[in-house]
Order: sequence, then C-alpha cells, then structure tokens
Amino acid sequence: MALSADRAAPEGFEDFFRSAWRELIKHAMVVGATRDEAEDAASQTMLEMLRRWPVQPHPLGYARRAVVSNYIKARTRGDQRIAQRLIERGHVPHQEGAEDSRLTASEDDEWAAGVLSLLPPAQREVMERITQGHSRDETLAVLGKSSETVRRNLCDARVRLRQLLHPDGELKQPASATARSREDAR
Amino acid sequence: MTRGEPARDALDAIDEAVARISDAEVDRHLAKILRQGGFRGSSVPFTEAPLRLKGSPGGHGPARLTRLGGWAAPLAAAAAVVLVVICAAAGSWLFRSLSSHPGDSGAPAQGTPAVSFTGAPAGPYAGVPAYYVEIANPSLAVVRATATGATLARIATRTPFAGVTGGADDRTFVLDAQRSIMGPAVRWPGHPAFYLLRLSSSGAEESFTRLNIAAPPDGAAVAGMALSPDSSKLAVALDTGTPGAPGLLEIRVYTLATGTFRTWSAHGLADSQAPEGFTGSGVDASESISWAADSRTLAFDVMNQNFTRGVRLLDTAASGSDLIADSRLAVTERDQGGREALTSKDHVSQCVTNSIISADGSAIVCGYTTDIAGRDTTTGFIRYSASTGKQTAVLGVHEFKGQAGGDISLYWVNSTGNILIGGVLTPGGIRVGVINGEKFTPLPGITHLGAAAW
Repeated sequence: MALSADRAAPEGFEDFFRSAWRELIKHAMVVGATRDEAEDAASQTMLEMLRRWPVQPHPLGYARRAVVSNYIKARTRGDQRIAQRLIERGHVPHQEGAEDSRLTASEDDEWAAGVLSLLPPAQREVMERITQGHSRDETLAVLGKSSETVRRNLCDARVRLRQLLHPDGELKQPASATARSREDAR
Repeated sequence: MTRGEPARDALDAIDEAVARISDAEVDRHLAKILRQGGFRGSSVPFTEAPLRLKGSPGGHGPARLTRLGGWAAPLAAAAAVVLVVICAAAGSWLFRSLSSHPGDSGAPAQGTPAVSFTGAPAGPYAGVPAYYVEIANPSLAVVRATATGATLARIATRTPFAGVTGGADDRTFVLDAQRSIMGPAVRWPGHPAFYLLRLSSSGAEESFTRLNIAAPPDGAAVAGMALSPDSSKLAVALDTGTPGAPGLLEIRVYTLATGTFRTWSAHGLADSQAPEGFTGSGVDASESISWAADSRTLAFDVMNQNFTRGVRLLDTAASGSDLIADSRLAVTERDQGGREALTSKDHVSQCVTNSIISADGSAIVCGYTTDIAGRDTTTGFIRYSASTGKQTAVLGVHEFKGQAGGDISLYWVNSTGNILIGGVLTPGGIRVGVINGEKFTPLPGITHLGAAAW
C-alpha cells in the first residue's frame, strides 16, 4: 500500500503522543529496558497505534501493555537468535533446539506471563500490574501496600526480570536455553 | 542499574532520566513516527532528526550486538540487514491446512440458517457483506462499500463514537458513544449511549436513532459489543473498573424490542477462573464478543489470573447469571503452563486478536502472529473446532522474510469460518482484505482502519 506523507496525522494522535511518550519510556524502563530499548519499544508501539488510530477504548492502557510486549519481543528475539546460533555451532543438539519452540512462542505477552511466574510472589504481584498496563501509582493504589514496599519489590523484580530476559551465560549452560530451564538450573 | 543497588535509587534514576527528555526530543520522535506512518505532522516541522550514528546512544544495531555478546554480532548484524530488506519486500499469503476434522470442512451445518446479502459484491469479494461501518475518527462514522471503498454515508456525532457492531443482514449496525478523558489512566465519565443505524439497500443512511435501553453504570466502559445476527439482541461487555481498581467482566444482553436485559458476571478475584475484566484486548478494533447464528450462543474471550487464555460459549437462553459457571470453555489457546494447545510447524502459539465464532457455531477463528525458527515472521488466522477445541486450519498466512511487526485484526468471518475479513500490519502499512482459503484480496480505499464492523 502506498502511503502518502501529504496526509495529516489522525486527529488526536499528536496530542496523545506528546502526553504519553515519556510515560511509555518510563514504563518500559521500569520493566527493565535500557533507555535505548525503551525508545525502540515506545517507537514501535506508537507506530502501531498510529496505523490504527484511534485506538479505543483505552489508548494509554493499551500503549503501556504494548510497550512492555514490544520490549520483551525485542529481547526474546535475541534469545531466539542465540538459540539458533547454539544449534548451528553444535553447542546444542538439534533435538534440544527443536524443543526450544517455547522460545519461538516468546513473541507474546503470554510468554512474558510465564517469565513473570518465575518471580517470587511479591515481586510478581507488582510486575504483573505493570505489564498489564497499570502505572506505578495505580499499582500502588491497587495493591494497598506501602509505597516503599512496592518500590522495593518492583525494583527487585526489574533486576530479576532483566536477568531472565537476558541471555547471559548461555555458552556455559548451552542445554538450558529457555528462561524456565535456566531458572531451574539455578 | 546494578544488583544490590537500593530500590529507591533505581526508580528514581528512571524518573530522572525521563524528566530530562525535552519537548524537542519528544517532537523529534513524533515527527519520525509520523513519517514512518506516512503522515505529515500538523504542527511539527518535517525536518529530519539528527542522524544517529550506529553505536551512538539511542542507536540500534550495535547496541543490540553488545547485548547479544560479541560472538553473536555477525548474526545479529545479518538480522539487521534483513530488517532493512523487508521494508521493501512484500510478504506472501499462503494457505496451510492442518489435520482436518469431519464437519470442519467449511460446509454449513444442517439446519443452519443461510445468511444472504442482498446486493452483495461478486468476484473476489463474493460472500462477504456489501457494506461496513468504520469509525473514521471519534466524531465521524462512515459507511463504505466493501468492494469499492466508496463512502456511502457519514454519521457525525458530538459525543465521540467508541465502537460499532453489525447484524447479519448487512443493514443494521449499532454504535456506542461515550466521552473519555485522557490522563494517567483513561476515564469514561457518564454513561455509554447506543445508537441504531439502519441502511437502505444501497447503503445509504435510512435511520439513526438512540436505542431506548437502560444505560450501563456511570463510568463503565464498553469493552466489547455484538449485535445478534437477527439484530434482536445487543450483547455488551462492560468494564466497570476505575483507575486503580479494575472491574470484573460483566456481559449484558439487551433485548432491543423491549429494552430489558440480563447480566452475567464473574465472581471476583477469589475465583481462579475470574477473567478480571478481560475480554480480549478490546483495542484491536476487532469484535471481542460474537454471536452464533442462533442468536443465543455468545462467544467471549477470557484470560484468568493464571494467564490461561481461551474462548468460552455462553447460552444466553439458559438460566443463570454466572459468566464462568454458566458457560463452557470451548477452546484453550494457552494453558496454565504457558504452553500452546497445539504447536504446528509454524509454531502457531496463540491468538493475538479476539476470537469470532462462525455463524453455524462450528468454528472459532482468531488471528495470530509468530516466528518461524526465529528468522521469518508469519501472521495469519487460526480456525478451531468449537466442538473439539482443536485447531483445524491455519488460514491466510502472511509470511515475512525476516522479523517484522505482526499486528493483526479480525473483523468478520462467514457462516462457516472459512472466509474472513482481517487486517495485517506489514512493513508497508496495514493491509485489510478478504481471506478466502489461500487467497488474500485487499479491500480498496483503506489506509488505516480502527473500529469497524461488517
């Protein structure tokens, strides 16, 4: 489809973008993204929303969930490439690689939920709210816990989640290519 | 951030980093996104953002290479090249049948009323409704001809339109309107209002009247809406939550002739099956709840707190008011362990759109997106058997060379679930069309599509 740059932006999109951009960057970073990763994920999210604008009924809630999903997608694509690379180099037998179809399923937020299930309960409780699109303030209100407790759990969850999504150590543990099996090995 | 760093420091550091983002930087990102989307900004000059060299802060490829580790750099670099290439490469639509089941061949079930469309288009658009209603922007709904994209009617509103659904006669539609307030969370003040739109045989507006039905609670948001095939009932999925206090899923079925309604709701968070107000994304413009042709069986998506996702069928003519206990799980798209119900060679894993039940009740269809071995991206539509819960076909696969965003929407399915109208976001923009087996026929005149109903 040819897209013409002569078309005006859909009504309301620019205002939404300006009001939501920083929030999306912050949201992705809270989940564990670096600034660069957060910008990538936020850009992808905004582009998707632009192409289907108006996104209804909850554009900001949608955007928060999408930015987390896009961040995780980007990271897990790295996992997939690494898994494939391990197979190609013979570090992982092909059959084991074939079992890594779970990695290919990591394109979606359901897989993220599976990763979240590896977090300790208190951390998972907080991070689930964030990945579901709640802001930090909303999460505080929903959980009814002290601000300090939520912040600490969130911060710990962020570190833990980043470890789960980061392919560190795969050469040392080539047979443990999935996040769950890596966790089990610890 | 490093491990062991005080929690407050990490979040404060994020807040500080975000606070340093200048308005000019936001505008540069906005300009870039608009350009990528094929739009010009109304107030942002279209100057090129400063070129960021690879490896510089905010750059792409090399940062990724660092994260992948040096040994993976060549592979990731190759992937980056592929990403560039796919911007110009067209995908291909394929058809892949899984093991077919008797009764899932697409033939109408016995006794199923045939749905006819007077004036329905012929040729590649045969078998699909002649007209659709699109919410072009919150202030305007537009009636278009499916085959030509021609605008047939415009319905303006002062209260913003939020959603639309259509009956099986291709003449009757219902739109809901409600104001929303953007903030840290979106609020929906007031009551949703519903309007009945009737079209003439030529697709012109015949009437547009407010439905005289009891309004949902103040502040409730309409998360899904489905007009029954005979246009006698309106099912509405409601999100009664407020910012900070998500509501539970509630579905109302209004009888339009009398204005009466029945309500089904989930128990609460103590119930492990409680869907916690989730009826599909509710934002992908797809139908989130759908009727079978009997105008009594209602299909709705659920995801419980264990993140099990599936489609349940509710007999709206039976007694009861418990959305979970009084419905049956027809399809499990993803189980509690995060495993897909069935893995095909394409690693089809789960639905990413809401699901639609075919009019004959035999099939449930949804859209998916996933990768092939981490190299290529596919998007397409999965057909499940409503009786066995098994996947019976993967339809209209759109295959990208390389990894690409695979956004997908499903708007309509025919009586047997083998002809669809759906949209796929490709590197070149959104493609909305008719998927009939292996053939994808783009619909003309669509450059972007939000909420729409056929």
